[in-house]
Amino acid sequence: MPAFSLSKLERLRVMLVDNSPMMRELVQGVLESVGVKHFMTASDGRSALDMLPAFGPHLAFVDWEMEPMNGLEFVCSVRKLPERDNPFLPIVMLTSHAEEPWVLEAKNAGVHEYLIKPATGAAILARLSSVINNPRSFVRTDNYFGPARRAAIEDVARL
Amino acid sequence: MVSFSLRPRGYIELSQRARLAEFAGTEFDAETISRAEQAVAKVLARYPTLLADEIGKLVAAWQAAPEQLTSETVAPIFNVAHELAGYGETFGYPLVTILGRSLCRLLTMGDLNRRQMGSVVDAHIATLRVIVRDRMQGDGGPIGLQLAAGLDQAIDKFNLAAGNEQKGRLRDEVAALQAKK
Repeated sequence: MPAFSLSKLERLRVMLVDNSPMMRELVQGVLESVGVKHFMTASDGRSALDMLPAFGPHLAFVDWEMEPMNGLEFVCSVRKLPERDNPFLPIVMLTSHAEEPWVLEAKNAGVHEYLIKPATGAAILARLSSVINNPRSFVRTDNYFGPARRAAIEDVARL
Repeated sequence: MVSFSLRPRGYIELSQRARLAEFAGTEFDAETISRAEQAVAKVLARYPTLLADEIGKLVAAWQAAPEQLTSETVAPIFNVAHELAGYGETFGYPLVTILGRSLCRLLTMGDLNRRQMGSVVDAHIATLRVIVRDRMQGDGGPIGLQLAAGLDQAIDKFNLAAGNEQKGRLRDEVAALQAKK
């Protein structure tokens, strides 16, 4: 494996949306440890949505439970943005809800990755690696717009 | 012969791939991951201080509460309890989450009398103080179970006085947490 270079991620722009300053700090700390320098932070989905076009992030880590706009509503709003404002933004949902119905709901809203709190450094880096090394194409159907869901691809492959 | 594409209907190729291309190939080795874990540990180490502050806010909110507790007057206490519930587990203190949820349940049982609730709220505050004093991360082991059982007694006493049929279930919740291991 080639040696990891801190400068490789210098230009990566990451949005951190969480109502807990400590949680934002935790994710930022992990990303800074691998060389990420550009962050935009917000404490709820509404303010993140307002800042999104100007910041132009490559990806976002988003908490679920926030007010006035929660993480799920944020994901749905991003997927409805006009193309120039990047409705394709890769979103990692950070939440303490580990149960399957919650995971499915997040996937159906169009999240790329799901990360259960408490998050470890390794888990955060694994999601980052997945987003940057395996960019997902998007699919639009009558009732879904978002990254192609892996299960859906597997279903098609089984035909 | 039937041919098909693996691409679902409406598949969209997009510029996202190009936006991320410059970062592709990034791999994190063991040393990098270890550095990331140190960054996490550094932040988590500050949680007990934050927790102590939150307990202070809880005490202040409870002391400021009027004699007759309604959903409105109880809101400042509820909000702190809700915060404790939301972040305890996230920062490695699931017992704090269990206690925070328990307080939220008690505070939403309807219009209550502060005097009636005094000892059960005080018992939660005292237990939270033990957790922060002893840096009781994780499920708390046998001491966690003892603390929960003690709180269940206070909850049962309160429910009996208030004419509620519910029973304390914190010991069961802590036992379930320990069984997950």
